[in-house]
Amino acid sequence: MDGVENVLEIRGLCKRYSGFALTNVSFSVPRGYVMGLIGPNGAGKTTTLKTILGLLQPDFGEIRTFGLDAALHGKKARARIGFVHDDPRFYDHLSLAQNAHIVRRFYRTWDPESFQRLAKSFGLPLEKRFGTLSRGNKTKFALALALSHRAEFVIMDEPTSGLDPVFRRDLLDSLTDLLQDERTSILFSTHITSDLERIADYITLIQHGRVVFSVAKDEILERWALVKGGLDLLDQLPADTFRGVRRGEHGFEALTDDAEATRARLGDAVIIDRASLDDVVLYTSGAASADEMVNVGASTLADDVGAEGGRTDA
Amino acid sequence: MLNLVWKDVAAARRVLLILIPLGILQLAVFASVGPFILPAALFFSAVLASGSIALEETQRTETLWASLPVSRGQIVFARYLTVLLGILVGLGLTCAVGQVVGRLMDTGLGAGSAASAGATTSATAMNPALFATSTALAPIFVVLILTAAIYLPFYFRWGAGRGAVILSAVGVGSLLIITLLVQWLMGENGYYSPMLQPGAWNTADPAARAAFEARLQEVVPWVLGGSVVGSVVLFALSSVASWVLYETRDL
Repeated sequence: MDGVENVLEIRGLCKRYSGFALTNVSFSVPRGYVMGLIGPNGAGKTTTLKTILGLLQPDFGEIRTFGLDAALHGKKARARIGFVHDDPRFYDHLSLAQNAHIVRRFYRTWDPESFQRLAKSFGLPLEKRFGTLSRGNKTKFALALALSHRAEFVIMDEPTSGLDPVFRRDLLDSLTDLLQDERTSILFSTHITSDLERIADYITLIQHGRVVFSVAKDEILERWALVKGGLDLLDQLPADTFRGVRRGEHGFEALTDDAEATRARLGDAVIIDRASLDDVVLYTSGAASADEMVNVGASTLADDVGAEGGRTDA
Repeated sequence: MLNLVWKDVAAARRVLLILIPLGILQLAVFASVGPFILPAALFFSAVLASGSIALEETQRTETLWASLPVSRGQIVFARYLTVLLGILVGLGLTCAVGQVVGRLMDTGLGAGSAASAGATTSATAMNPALFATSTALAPIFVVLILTAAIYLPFYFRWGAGRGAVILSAVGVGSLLIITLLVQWLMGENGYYSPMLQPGAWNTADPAARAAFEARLQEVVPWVLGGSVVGSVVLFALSSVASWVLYETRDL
């Protein structure tokens, strides 16, 4: 991301609670791109986003939004940021129009036409009370507000969590439309990684409060792969060969962060499949190795390997 | 910052449209019994002052406001302004209602109610206009401002629930200390202690009592004036303390 203007730069961010610590978190979001922040529940995604918005005070580290130190210019930065919290809160007893009327006064760049257009395209009933809306419509309302003041940077914390597939698709379509201007950047945290496979340009993976990687999505999908093979092969390999391994009764499934090198090294002895972001989260979190490989039956694995012409003694 | 005050008023608009007429009615009813307008004023002003905090708590919108382009300091000072506004509106309406009901009683409209109450005190002495003056309402203003000055820093540091618990503890403790302090001061100056010598005031020399009451009359305006100024100063200092506490609070 060198040489690209960043709307967000985080360097060495640390935040400690009792029982949890965000440690040395660093990543940046380039202008006009979508950064997906992924990781299991409790990994530190919300803490990171709240710290960017100034809702939490970092213990150490530096956050720069639009090149400004967030600790000193938080108010100025927030004027250019749109946010969608995981549980959007507005006045329940007021209508959407009344809530919007309150929020608009805080933004000099508020565009009423844009709000009306977004509300219409999201199908938001502006005369209805906020408290009567479904979870999906609440998120859409928060998004409409976030986008109606011409935000250059939109921060969304688990916006699709709890939404049904239709709502999720609508929301992602809206975001895709938004990105057409190539000016707005999005930081999108989620544990539903399939959403990010559709819209993200970059992915940052957080595990146990630490950044595992922060790279272009295509790079992950090209380089990282699932490897399937027999247990005897696995036993011959050094322990650090893979990023995570699931052992079955007769075979193993593992994640590699260098598909090419693995292919060159193990050749036809294994099957190498495309890894999804879900696989990456699962294996790097350690959840996979702690799991029993229930669904990967010996025959299936053996058949897979055999069909590829590899060793079938798994 | 005014936007933050405005949003409190806008959000509570419907409630205020019901609360204010009801409050005025309540004040008018209590005003017909003279001094009873004072506790009614205390209650009404307290409700208006604390309404915005209650609304914030029930709606849980704190993170929303903190995510907007406003500073933590602005959030704090806006809350103080809203509370002050609530107190002043409450007392202002009390004053107005007291004067109106007082005038009505002066013109004879209230005489019937005073007579039917079998009051030995004259209707003039019971006139709510007397109790709806700045002097009579000053103690209420002081009590409310001091309560807010003590409560708000705890509210901004720990939230409304814990803040209320701490306020109760501080309130009870303060009353105890003030009571003991007053008794000690009275004892030091040669007066009877109401707690240690509870019957002494009833059997006291009428001349001594009259002297004490005359002295009290002289001191009261100064004490009231000083209390108003002191409480406002404390309120201002409290806002700065709240700002410092809220600036670093994790939401």
